[in-house]
Amino acid sequence: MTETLLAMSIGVPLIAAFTTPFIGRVSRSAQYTCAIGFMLVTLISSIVLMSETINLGKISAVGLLYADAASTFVITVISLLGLAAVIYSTRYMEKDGNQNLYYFLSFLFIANMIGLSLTYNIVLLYVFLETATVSSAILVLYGRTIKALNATFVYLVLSIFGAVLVLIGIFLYYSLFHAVDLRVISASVTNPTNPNLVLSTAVLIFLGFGIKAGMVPFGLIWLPKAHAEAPSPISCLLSGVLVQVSAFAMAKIIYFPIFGAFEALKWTVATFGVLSMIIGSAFAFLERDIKRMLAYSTISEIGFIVLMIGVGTALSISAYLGHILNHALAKGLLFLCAGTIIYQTGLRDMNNLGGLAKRMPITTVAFLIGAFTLIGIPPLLGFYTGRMLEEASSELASFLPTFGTITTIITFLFYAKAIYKIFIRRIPEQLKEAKEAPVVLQIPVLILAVLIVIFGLFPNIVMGAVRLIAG
Amino acid sequence: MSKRDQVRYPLLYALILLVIGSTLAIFSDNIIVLFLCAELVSVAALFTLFLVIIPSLFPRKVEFIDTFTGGAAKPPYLSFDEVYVPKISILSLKEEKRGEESK
Repeated sequence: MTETLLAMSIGVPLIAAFTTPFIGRVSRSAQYTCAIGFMLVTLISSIVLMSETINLGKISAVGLLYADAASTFVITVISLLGLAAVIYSTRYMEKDGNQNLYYFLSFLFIANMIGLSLTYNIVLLYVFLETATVSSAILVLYGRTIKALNATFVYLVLSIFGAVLVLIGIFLYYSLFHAVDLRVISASVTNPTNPNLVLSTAVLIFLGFGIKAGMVPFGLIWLPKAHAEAPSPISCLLSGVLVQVSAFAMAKIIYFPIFGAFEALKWTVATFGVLSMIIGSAFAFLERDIKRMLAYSTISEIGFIVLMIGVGTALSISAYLGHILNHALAKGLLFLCAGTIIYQTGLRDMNNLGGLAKRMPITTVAFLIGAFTLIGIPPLLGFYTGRMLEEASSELASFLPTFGTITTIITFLFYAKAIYKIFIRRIPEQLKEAKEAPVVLQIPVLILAVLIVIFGLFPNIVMGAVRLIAG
Repeated sequence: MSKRDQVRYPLLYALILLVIGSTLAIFSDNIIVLFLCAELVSVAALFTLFLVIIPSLFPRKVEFIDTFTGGAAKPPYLSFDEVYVPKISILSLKEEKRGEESK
C-alpha cells in the first residue's frame, strides 16, 4: 500500500506533465480540470502516505526513492503549494499562448521537487536538482521581459555553478567511501581515514545546495531577480518550496554523514544562517518592489532554516520542519496576493500603490494573515513555530535568539511599511477603479490563509506531527 | 524548417533528455547508468543556459540606422547627461556651442 502511494506521489505529477499538454490541444477547460485533479490526487496520496509513515512507522521504498517521516511531511507541503499554484495558474496564465509547455514544465518541476525530497542517493539528488533548475528556469522566462531573461541567465549560471560543486562532492564521496547513498556513507564516516577531505567534501556539497537554497551571499545575487520576474504562481513555488527543498537536501547531507563526526561544522552552518536572516531582512526593508521585497524576505526565512540545520538537535529538527510548513504557506500566500495585486492594478512598485484595503478586502486580509504569521503574531501558526525556533537556537548558544529577535523586528518593520503603502494610505487617482480579483484567483489564496489560521488555532496538529517526526 | 521550429525542436530534445534522465535515474541500480542519467540532465541544463546567454547579453535588436554608426545602439555623444564628464567650464561651453550649431 505505502509503496503504491509513494509511486503515486511522484508518478501522478509526471503523468500530468505528459498528458495535460495533449488535453490542452483538445479543450482548455478540460486541461484546467485535469491539472487540478492530478494535483489533488498527488496531495491526497501524499497526506495518506504521511499519516501511514508517521503514525504506523511504515517506511517504504521504490527504486532509489525512500519515504521516511520527514520526507513525507515535505512532499505534503510541496503538493499543497503545487495545488494552490495550479488553481491560480488557470486564471493567471489564461492569456498566455504557451500554456501547454507551461503545464508540462510546472508538473515536471513539482515531480522533481518531490523526488528531491524522497531520495538519499546523492547522484539522484543531483539529477533532480538539475532537472528542477532547468524546468524552473524556463518558467522564469515566462515573465517575457528583458529583466526576466537576465534573471534566468543569472539563475542558471549560479545554479549550474552550485550543481558543479555538488558533482565534485559526489566524486570525492565516491572515491572515499565507494558509495553514493547517504545512509551507507553515514555508517562508514564514524572513523574516517582522511577527516579533512570528508569535511571539505561536505562543505562543497553544502555550498552547492546552499546556492539553490538562496543562502547568503549567493541568494542575494539570483533569488530576488528570479523570484520577482517569474509569473506569480511560479514565484509561489520557487519561494515556498524550491528553496526549502534544497535546504532539506542540504540538511540530509549535513546531518547524515557529517554531524556524528564533525561538531565544528555546526558553527559554520549556523553563521551562514544568522547572516542570511539579518542581511535578507535588511534588504527587504530597503526594497520598494513588492515581489522583490518578498524574495529578500525568503532569504531571511531560509536563514532560520539553515540556523536550525546548524543547531542539529531533535528540537531544532522539529522547529525546522514547523518553519518549513509555516514559511511555505505564508510565502506562497503572499506571492499569490502580490500576483493578484499586479493582475488587478498592473503595478508592483509599492510607492505607486495605496488604499487597496477598501477595493480588495479579501486580498488585504489574506496578505495580513501571511505577513502576521511570518512576524509570529498569535494565534497564527508562525507564533508557535517562532517560539520553537527561539528555544532550539538557544540550545547551541544563549545569544543566538537575540539575532532571531532582531530579524523579527526588521521583518515587522518591512511588512508594516508594505501594508501601509499598499493597503492603508490614500488611494492614488489611477487606482480608483481597482476591484477585487476574480474568484479563481481568490480560492488558492483563501485555502492557504485558512490553513494558517486553522493550524494556529489548533497548533497540536502541526506541533505534534513535527515532534513525532523529529523523535 | 521554419525559424520558430529551429528553436523549438532543440528545446524539445533537451526536455526529452531531461525527462529520460530524471525518470531512468530513479530505477537505476547501476552506478554507471546513474552517472549517465546525471550526464543527460547536465547536457539539458547547459543547453538551456546557452539558449538564454546570447539574448540575455545582447537583448536589444540592432536598428537599421545603427549599421551606419558602427553597430553602436545609441550614439553616446548626443546627451552629455548620460556621459561622465568632468564639470569644467570649457567642456560645458563646448556643449552649448554644439547645441547652438544643431539649432
